[in-house]
Amino acid sequence: MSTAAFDDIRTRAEARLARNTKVKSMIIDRLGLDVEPSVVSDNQPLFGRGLEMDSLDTLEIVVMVNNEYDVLISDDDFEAFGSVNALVDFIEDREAAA
Amino acid sequence: MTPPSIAVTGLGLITGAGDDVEKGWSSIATGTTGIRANTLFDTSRLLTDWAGMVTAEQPADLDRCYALAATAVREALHGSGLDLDTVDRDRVAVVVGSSLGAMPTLEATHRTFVREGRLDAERAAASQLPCVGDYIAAEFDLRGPRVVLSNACAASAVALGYAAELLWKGDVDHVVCGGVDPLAELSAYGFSALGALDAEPCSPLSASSGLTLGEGAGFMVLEPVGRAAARGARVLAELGGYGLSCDGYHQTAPDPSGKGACAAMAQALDTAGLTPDDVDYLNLHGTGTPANDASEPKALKLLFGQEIPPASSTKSILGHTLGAAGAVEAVVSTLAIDRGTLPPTINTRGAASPSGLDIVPDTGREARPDVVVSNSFAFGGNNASVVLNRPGRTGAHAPRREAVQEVVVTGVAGLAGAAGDTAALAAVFAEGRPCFETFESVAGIGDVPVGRVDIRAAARGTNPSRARRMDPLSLFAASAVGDLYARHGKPSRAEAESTGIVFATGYGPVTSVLRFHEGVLLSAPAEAEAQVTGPDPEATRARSEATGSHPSVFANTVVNAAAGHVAMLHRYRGYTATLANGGTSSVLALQLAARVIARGAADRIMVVVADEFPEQALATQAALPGYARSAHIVPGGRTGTILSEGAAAILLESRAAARARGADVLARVRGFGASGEAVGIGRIGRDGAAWGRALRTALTDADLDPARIATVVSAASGHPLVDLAQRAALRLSGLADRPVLAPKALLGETYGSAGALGLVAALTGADTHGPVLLSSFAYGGSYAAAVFDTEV
Repeated sequence: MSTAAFDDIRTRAEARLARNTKVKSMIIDRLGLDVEPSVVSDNQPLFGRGLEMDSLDTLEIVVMVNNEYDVLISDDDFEAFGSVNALVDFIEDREAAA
Repeated sequence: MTPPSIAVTGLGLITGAGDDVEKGWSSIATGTTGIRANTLFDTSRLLTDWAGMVTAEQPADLDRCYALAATAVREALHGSGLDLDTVDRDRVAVVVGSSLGAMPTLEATHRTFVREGRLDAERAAASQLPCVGDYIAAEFDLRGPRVVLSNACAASAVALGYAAELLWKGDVDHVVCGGVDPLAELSAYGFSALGALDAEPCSPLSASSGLTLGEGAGFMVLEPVGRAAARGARVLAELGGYGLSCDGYHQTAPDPSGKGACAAMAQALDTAGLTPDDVDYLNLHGTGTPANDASEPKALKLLFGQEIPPASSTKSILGHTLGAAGAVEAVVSTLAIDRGTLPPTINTRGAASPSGLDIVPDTGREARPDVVVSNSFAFGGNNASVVLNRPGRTGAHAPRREAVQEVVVTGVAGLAGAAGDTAALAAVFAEGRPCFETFESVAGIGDVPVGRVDIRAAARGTNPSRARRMDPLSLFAASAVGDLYARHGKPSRAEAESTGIVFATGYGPVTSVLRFHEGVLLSAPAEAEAQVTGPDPEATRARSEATGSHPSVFANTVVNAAAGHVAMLHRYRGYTATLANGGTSSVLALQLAARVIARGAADRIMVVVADEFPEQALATQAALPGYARSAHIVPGGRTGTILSEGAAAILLESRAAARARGADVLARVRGFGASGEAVGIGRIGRDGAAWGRALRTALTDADLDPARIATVVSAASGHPLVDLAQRAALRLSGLADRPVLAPKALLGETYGSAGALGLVAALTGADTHGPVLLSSFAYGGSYAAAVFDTEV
């Protein structure tokens, strides 16, 4: 692997990590969760026993993502709420498609 | 005395379908829509501009809420043929349900406050929820008991229940009862953020893709049938009964099983002496949201089995008039009985109802319904059902309207200002140390004292995953209830499920309403507009959501949100109501709960009161005359008063229920009294005449001479006018020489919580033996008193 390609991958990984961390902080801040961003893992479920979110929290996240990233999560896009990784994947897919 | 049957003798209606009963009914009966484009405010950032908007010109110098209410009250009084000059106005009650009140004016004051930092204190104070009742009382010179109920979208169905309790007990001769809500940005942005609005005029129980907002007012004149007959009035229908229940399930969504809604309908029929078999037509809640339209038919199946009567949603014609809906639909149900037509569900677009119900599609149907059930459900899992029946129609069993059992107090707890629980309150009284020694800076005034509740401490007893969804009012309420259970023991699962909750607050969830407005106002519209990229629906949706609206904050803007949270925390499934009536809220809530238990419609009810006064509420109060500048109150001493946040919980039970679970009885309920005067918003009469009537009525209801009162729990607060009026009231009632406990000297003025905190002080203090009289007042000229007895 060339150094340039390696650097590119590393840059993208760092950007992704930063975005995941930002999304975690935004969710915690917006929903008033009593946890530190560092203890939320990228693949931890947002609902059920994960972060114990409910349908109102879903709406908060829809509004938050729309305001922050100009990306719309519709009723059919429930996979976006699987985890932080799933949510960021969804945002990046939509950004790439735009 | 056997409780009278209640006659409906006058109707008033103003909605998008027409500005009087005849126009509205003609539109409803023929299935003609009252839904049109909303032109009252900018809707470009909302999911839709469809709304059941009133088209008649409203006066520019009056809040739309008051104007709509006045129109409907005037029509109802006129139609009833009641000549107010020939009746005892002291015995004409005003009972109103509203979710928003004068929200258009409050929004305008919040807009200036958020954008310019400028607060118009007088306008803000004159657009609080209790003012709706004060406005009507003053406009029509009605001087009986007065109360504003605010269970969101069930508010005016609950109001009809409250009115029924007053008439069944014989407290009053007539009640002007109804509901009103104007179209407002708060609800439009809120429901839009929840994704609950239909892009087209709603089609409840057919397409069920969302609701359409509406506005309006519906009012009734109610009186005992004997009184109606004596004056030769035509009786349009009877208010047979009502039932209320809570889901304890979710902040905004109904319990999908429909159990709570079924319980409310069953209780309403039971109260009326009727059974499900008697029902000829149901006016559904039928909002058109997928959640409602899935759960409400389930509730009907639970109650009726396979034989469900015709059931329609007039919200398809009128839109959802929120707090007015219960009364508006009770007016419609009365007309269905009187005129012989079942109102239709329109906008079906030819589709059959997926629920299999007979929704009376598209146009009215001739019929002769004798018994109608009208449903209203609300945020916080509040279910309300009202029964209207043809005059004289009786059922197979006796109605449940008469007081049959004694009511006792089995638990008390409270917090106020720096005193975070009941033990701290006791210390405040033992040490004579006030709990309002925090000083906060108010623009243009300087540092003023206030009693601040430590919100972190108040949240400590609540699971953080629940606490994060709760606003200050809910946390204070939950803290008081938690403290009560810590002091008096937790209920078993079965006891909790049979527990009801009556919540009261002076002025409601002030923080949530302002926070929601801030979010909407601070999201720069120019930036939001820039996101409009084309006419495709995705772009419209994206645009609509860039509004700064917080759905979860909106869920807490309804006054009964705190009751919903407490019900969810403790799994309450019983009776529920919410009052927002300023300083009389506690006493009126205790009265309602006691009446319901006394007639056997509930075993136990937790009465919870809470009041919060964030920065702008303090600024409003401190700008008005009579606010103290130093942290020192002397009731009767012209020191001025000091605002304190607070909450209290009082557990009421039937004596039998208390005995069955071996609970200690702290006091028994002896009597209540309420009164009003037509002095206008924000005012009270200095002569104490109306206040005195409330005190004397309570004494009569308690069957006590004034000399027997061991302790008067005074409402004196250091505010010169209040203290003067109460002194006169006590003198007029023969109570001037009775021993006085003046809790506000140390707790400050908590308004809604004051009466209940007074009871906590009296029942937790060492020296109280015998009958205790609670005295309370509300700005706008309404008064309430209660007598409890520690000799149990």
